[in-house]
Amino acid sequence: MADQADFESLAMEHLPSLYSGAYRMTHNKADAEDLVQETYLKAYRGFHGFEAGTNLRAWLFRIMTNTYINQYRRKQRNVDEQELDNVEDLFLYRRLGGETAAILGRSTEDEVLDRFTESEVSDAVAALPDTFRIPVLLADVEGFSYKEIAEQLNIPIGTVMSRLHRGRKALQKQLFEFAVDRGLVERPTSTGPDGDEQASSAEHPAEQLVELPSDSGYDPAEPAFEPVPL
Amino acid sequence: MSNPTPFGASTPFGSEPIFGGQPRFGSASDVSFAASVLPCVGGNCGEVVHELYPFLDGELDHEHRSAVQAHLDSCPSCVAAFRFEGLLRTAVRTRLNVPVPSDLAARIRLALAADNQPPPLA
Repeated sequence: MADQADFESLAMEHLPSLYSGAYRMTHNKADAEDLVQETYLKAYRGFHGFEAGTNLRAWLFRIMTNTYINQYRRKQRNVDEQELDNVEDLFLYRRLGGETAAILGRSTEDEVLDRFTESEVSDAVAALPDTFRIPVLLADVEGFSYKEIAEQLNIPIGTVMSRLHRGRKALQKQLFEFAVDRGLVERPTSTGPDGDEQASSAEHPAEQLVELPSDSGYDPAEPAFEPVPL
Repeated sequence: MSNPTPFGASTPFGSEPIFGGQPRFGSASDVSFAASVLPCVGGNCGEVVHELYPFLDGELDHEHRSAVQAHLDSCPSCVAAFRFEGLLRTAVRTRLNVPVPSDLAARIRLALAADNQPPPLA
C-alpha cells in the first residue's frame, strides 16, 4: 500500500507525460488541463490502492484514460472496419519508396518523414477513431507494453494487438494523404479490383498483404473500451 | 544448433543485431538502404513482416525475436522496411510533444492541498 503523503513527490514528475497524453486525447488545451487535474485528484484519493514498486506512470495513465473515456470521449463516427482491413502492411513505406524517387531524385523515405509537420502528424492521429487512436498513442508515444495497455483499456491483449495493427495502418494512410496533398508524392493512378488505391509495385514478398491471425481476439461487435474500476 | 529459427535464415551479412537491444520505438542503426531493388534472400518475408509490430514493440519472446533477427541479418529488403517503420514511429512520437502550461503544476498542487478527503477504508 502506498503512502498518500508520498503522492505528490512521486506523481508530479509524470506531469509532462500526462499532460501531453491528455492533449492528444482531447485536442483541447482547457480539456487537457481539466483532465490532468482530475486525474491527479482521483489518483491522490486512490493512492492507497497503488501497489508500491509497480509502474506509477502506467497507473496514472490508466486513471486518465478511463476518465477520458467516461467523460471526454467524443462522439465517434462509425468505423469502416473493412476499409481499414484493405490497407495493406507497409502501406506508407511502399508508396514513399516506390513513388517518390522519381520526384525527389533518390530514395527519400527518410526525407519525406522529416517533412511531415507537427500539425500534420497531430491531425493524422486526431483523425483516428478513439478505438484505434488510444492504443496507438499508448504504445507508440507513451511506450506502454501490450499488457499495460490491455489493463488500462480493460481489453484482451489480442484486441490490443488487433487495434494497434489497424490503427497504425490507418495512421499511415492518413499521413500518405497529407504527403499527396503537399506534393511530396504523386497520387497512385492504378486501382485494385475494389477500387482501392494500389501501390505501383510490390516486388518484395514483404509487401504482400498479411492478414491478421485468426486468434487476434478482435471482435468488431465488442464495445470499444470497458471502464476500469479504480 | 546451427539454425534454430523457423525462418531458416542464414546470416551472410553477419550476426550483429540490426536493431540492438532497444526495439521499442524502433531504434535502428544506420543500415544501407536499397530495399526497393534488392530481392529477399532469406525467404519467408511475409512471415517476418507479420511479426514487424510485435518485434518493434519488444513483445516477441526470445525464440521469435531471434528468428526475426536472423531473417533481418540476411534480408536487406526487410531491414529497410523495418527501419522505416521504426523511423516513422519516432517521427510521430517526436512531433506529438506538447509543453505543459507553466501554471498547471502549481494549480494541481493547490488542488491536492485543498482536497482534504481522507482515503477510504480498505
